[in-house]
Amino acid sequence: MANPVPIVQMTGIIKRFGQTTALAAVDLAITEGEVHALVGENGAGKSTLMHILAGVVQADHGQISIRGNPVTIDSVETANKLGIGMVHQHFMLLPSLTVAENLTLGREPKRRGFFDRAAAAKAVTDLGERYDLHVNPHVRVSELSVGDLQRLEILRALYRGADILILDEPTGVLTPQETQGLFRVIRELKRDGKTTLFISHKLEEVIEIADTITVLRDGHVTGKPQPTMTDSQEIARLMVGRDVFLEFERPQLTQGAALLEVAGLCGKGVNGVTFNVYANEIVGIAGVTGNGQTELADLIAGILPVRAGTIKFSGKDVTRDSVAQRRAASLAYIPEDRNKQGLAPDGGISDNLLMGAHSRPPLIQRGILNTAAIRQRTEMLIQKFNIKTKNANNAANTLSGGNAQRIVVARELADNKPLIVAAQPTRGIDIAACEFVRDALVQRRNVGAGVLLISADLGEVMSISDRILVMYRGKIIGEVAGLFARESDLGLLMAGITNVNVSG
Amino acid sequence: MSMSADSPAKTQRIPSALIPILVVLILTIMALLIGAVAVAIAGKSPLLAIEELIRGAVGTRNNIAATLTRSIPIVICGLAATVGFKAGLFNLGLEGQMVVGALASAVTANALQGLPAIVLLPVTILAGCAAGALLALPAAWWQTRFNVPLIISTLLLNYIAVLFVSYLVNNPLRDLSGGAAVPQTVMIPEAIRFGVILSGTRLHAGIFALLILPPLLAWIFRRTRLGYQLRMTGLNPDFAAYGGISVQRMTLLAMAASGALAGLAGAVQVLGVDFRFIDNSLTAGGYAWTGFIAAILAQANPALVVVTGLFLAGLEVGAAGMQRNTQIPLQIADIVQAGIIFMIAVRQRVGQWLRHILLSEQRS
Repeated sequence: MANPVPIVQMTGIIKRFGQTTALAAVDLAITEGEVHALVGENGAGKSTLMHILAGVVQADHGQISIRGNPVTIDSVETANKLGIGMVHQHFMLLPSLTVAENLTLGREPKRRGFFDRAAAAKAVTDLGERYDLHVNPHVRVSELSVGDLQRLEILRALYRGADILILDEPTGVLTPQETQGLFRVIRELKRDGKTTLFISHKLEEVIEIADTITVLRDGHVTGKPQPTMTDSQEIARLMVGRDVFLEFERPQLTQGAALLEVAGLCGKGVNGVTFNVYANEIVGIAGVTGNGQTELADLIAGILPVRAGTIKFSGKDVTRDSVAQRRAASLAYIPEDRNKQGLAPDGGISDNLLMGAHSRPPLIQRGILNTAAIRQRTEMLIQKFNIKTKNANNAANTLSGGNAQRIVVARELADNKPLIVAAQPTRGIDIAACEFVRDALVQRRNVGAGVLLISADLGEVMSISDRILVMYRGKIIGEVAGLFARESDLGLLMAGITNVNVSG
Repeated sequence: MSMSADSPAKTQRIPSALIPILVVLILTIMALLIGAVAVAIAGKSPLLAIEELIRGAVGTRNNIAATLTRSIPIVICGLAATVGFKAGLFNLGLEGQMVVGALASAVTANALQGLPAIVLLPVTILAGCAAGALLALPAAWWQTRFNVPLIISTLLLNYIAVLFVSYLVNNPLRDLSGGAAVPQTVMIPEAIRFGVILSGTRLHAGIFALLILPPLLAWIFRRTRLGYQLRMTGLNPDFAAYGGISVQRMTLLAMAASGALAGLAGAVQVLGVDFRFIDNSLTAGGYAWTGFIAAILAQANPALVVVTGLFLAGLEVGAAGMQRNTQIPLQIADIVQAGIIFMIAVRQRVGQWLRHILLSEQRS
């Protein structure tokens, strides 16, 4: 039934970036009409491989054949002509133009030499009808939701005649319901004979949607497990190269005293939020990115000004306290973006580990740094948190993402503060570092800390939270006990739908 | 995923601390080559030019003294710029701060001349520093409060300061007793003037500032909480704010310190060279701007500022000597300085390239 000649055949693909080998002789064959998932950790080479196919970058060595014909894909334009279209992780749309204008940009339908608005709108609706991808053609792109943006990107690839569609981490920004919608679209495309390449690191999704799975690790293909015969554990093992513990052991603990009390909190992006975090618990905050979670963390840390409401740490009102006062009192804060907020990337590891403790004796005495005490603490943290570096004075940006995140985590957990706010603590880091960070948070919870975990990764929130709050448009619109959380219920809440019974 | 620092193959036999120094050397040599080309285009011998330049800068005892004397305000201004750089700030108002500092110290010295020298000297110096700091602070405040870019406000404050000081010394503060053609203040008391430390030259005790200030600043940056807070603010202000450092406070402090140092440079010129405030004498010398270039070239390293400041002072003094002895115009020095500014644009690339070469050599 299947065409014996693969629609895409990549052979011996090698790509180096400076000293780093991104792809070490990778072979990949794609059958026409299949949904082929590429999985691997950050830096495994999956995006690079797809960028080569889409003409974004060129391989150093290796051959590509499309439908059996050897081709040279030297630009995105060439790839388009070969029927290859890519939907990038970061959307490449012009916000001030309408959906129809964005769709046809570069290939505008013309009437007497002018842009034919009606024809462009018709193209949006026609394609939308065909693949169940409905977007209003006349709306400005700046007003679209993330899901709509993604649909438009897919439409644009189809408009340009793509038969081979590459989706780079398409579900990272979607709610579970939106993800299901995307999967319907992918099945629709398949029915129409299109081939879909799907990059992901969400293993359950991959098993659900893919016909074929290719696992990459460090630029090598490490396996092609059958979706019908594999499970997350096996794929994770192929990705990491060893056994991975996706479950955490968490003893049932009774809630302790209130460590964080937030009441009627208002500020930038946050409109009246009330909740408590008690000792011995991890409270997860779920929500689609951009619904006020980041701002909530910055408000609690004192970085953003509070417009109304109160914040208490262990019963003491800190609403008017400075960042330094809050940190000195009881707060550890792992910020969302380590390169923007969590580190001085050009600064030394030692300097980065000192932040926040830079007023505390014996590290600092009468305003003078105690270099011996600082060195001792730095070395202790490097060892305890397994930060891989030869020299504590090396710049933080010489480390890998996971290693750099360990600096942030080490610094914030070093002093056993009772209250921990962790925002996206595992974003963009390898599985080993992920496990380490989650385990560290659970450990702190087990010995009496209260943790507020803000994460866009629903799996992460569900795996370690005792309670889950869902944030939508700056408000908390629902609470679910961690043990009873169902992904579908959380998904509805994340989409702002509250009239569901979430008691489990 | 191999990251450079943790791979065992790259043992660093050449300490990476040397790289900035090598970068300075390479940039300087490249800038000198540009100057040599300019000389050649003008139809003169570049070799002769370089020979005369070196002779003019360090050829005789007098010339060495002239270079050292000139380097004093340049290095102090360079250190002023360095304090700003450390906190991530571009203080382009050094010239105005230097000029108000000079005038304030001259006026203070004359107004309080009844005081004993041991009191009057520090008061005079502090008056210069305070004036410089006071001129720098509004710019810092505007940036923290109203988001007015410091780089613009400091630059524009120069005009206000220099012209206002010029008005003062032309009118209410002008010394009318001697009937000199140049607008200037009355001379400061002899007791507080810096002594000459090399007889027969004008090299004065201000040179000791070059020995005291850089280690002091380096110590503050590396070994104090204040220095840590300044450096972190400069490296990443969002990180500093997240860690509980008040970026506003650091901006105000760094600008006050930078302005104070620029004011000090002005005071030192008054105490050691002019013994009064003379209209235009500091701006015509271009000390503040040369100091700024020295600081950029030294990549905000206080010790290196001394080296680059001495080099640029020698270049300027040497070019004047070269013009005297040959027909080659002293503007060649400007071309070399322009070349340095030009080279600074490629500074980072040179650094990367150097690291690459040094590291790969060590590997083989």
